Amino acid sequence: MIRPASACLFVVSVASLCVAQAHDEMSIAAPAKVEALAMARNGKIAAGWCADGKVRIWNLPAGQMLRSFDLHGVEASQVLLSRDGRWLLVGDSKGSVHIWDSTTGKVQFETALRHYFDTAAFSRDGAMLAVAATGEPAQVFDLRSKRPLYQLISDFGGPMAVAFSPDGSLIASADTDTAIRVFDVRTGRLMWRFDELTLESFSVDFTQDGKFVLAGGPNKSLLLLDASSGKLVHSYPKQKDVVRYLEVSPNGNAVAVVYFDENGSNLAAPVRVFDISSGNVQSQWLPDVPVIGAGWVSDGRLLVATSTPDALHIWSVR
Amino acid sequence: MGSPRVNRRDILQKCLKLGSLTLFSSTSATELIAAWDERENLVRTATPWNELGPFYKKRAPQTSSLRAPQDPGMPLSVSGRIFDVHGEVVSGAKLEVWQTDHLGHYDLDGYRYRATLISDTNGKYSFDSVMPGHYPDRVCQHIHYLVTAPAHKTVTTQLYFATDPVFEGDPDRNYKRDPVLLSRELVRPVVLRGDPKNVFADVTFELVMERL
Repeated sequence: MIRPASACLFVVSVASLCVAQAHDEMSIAAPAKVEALAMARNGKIAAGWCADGKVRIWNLPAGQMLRSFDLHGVEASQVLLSRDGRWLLVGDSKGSVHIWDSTTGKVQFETALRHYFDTAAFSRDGAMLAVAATGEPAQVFDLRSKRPLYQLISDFGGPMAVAFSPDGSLIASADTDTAIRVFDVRTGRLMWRFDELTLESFSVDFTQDGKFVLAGGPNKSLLLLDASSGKLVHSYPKQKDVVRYLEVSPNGNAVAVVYFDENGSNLAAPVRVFDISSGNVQSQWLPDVPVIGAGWVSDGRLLVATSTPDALHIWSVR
Repeated sequence: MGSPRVNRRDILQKCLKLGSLTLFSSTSATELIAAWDERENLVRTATPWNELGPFYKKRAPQTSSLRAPQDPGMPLSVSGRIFDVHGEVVSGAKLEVWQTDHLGHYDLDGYRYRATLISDTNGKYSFDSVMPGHYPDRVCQHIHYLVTAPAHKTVTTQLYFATDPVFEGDPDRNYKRDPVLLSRELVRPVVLRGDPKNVFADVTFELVMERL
């Protein structure tokens, strides 16, 4: 089983297929190898699950460790930060989900899932949470009241990834039954499902104007779907590798894609940036180790993280 | 304080004594209880859940031959029957199975080592394949199952092999080395036959579905 990493993304430049220049923005000494990293959209906070069983928070770009949380021997499945970096979500292999206030270290929300944690997403304002255990429907919570609202139903298997639309009105779900579904956030009602894929998608995101949904996975292509109807607008040319994670840029013109290798294994694999309207590859970069996390930050940089046993490396491509 | 455990056999006997259950046939109470006991012995536990994927691919071809004649890897035959939790055979169930090749690679572009099977009137199914390989990020060799049948809950599970080197010959002790493997029941014994240069593996995997 391979689990798409929580928050990833990546790098580089170039017209056509030149090698992009990735700048080593910072290297941060870490007491244990960082296995997965999430970065806030403001570019000021990063949180990583480390091999010693602790989740650590660093400020960026200083790289100063602000706080750590001990998971008491339970392996984290995902770390996720709200866009402003305030809320840190950690889902673990026992099915527990914790949300801490990264500024105070206080627990804000906790719930227990039926199986081990699989995927989660915050709404852009941090007020809503969609979270799923492996094989189970995603549950949607109102984080202000801390109450569950509804479940996002699929035929079987649960979601691989979920994403809220920029205006918070829709949730997209990439499900293991291979369907892409979009739900109304207010009611939980299914708006449409896209059933033309034979393999599931590993990642899903909305364009910044909320008009389209992008999805990708082991079918090795990116699909652009109309967010209001679910109709296929465009299928980008197939690549050699499996789409692991995708994220639309802040200006809405590009989508960054982090890949698994061609067999779907979490080995060193490229990161590409596509022009959304044309589907052309704007840039690509091949790190020499697997990416542990990535994401666009609000100033337009794409930050990508890799790790060595004693350090965290964050790369930037402008 | 817990209440004393009462099984359905006890309840049946008490009902007969109290007269709340009356027999109108020639069947004696002893025979009825014996029949009940026999029936109870057929009760099965639902097959444990195991995660679906990733890499499930719908519309797999209907075939029992996942292995081509010259395919490398240890030939593997898997067979079994499908029951419900009351011991009734489930015929016509649809099984979708998928696995890696012997090197641990899933076919993402086509349907190698993927198949759809239908259980026969006796609930039987079988297929020929190769022993799946290991791959990064996953500890154990395994075959995925998605089983559907009308009026039954969908079964999502995986088959594991007691001969997997990960278990070091002791799956009871070591099955948790794979964090995804939550139940020892899913690790099945393997019968190896043939000679040392030409080994074949046989595995039986019975599936039990819950009724809706």
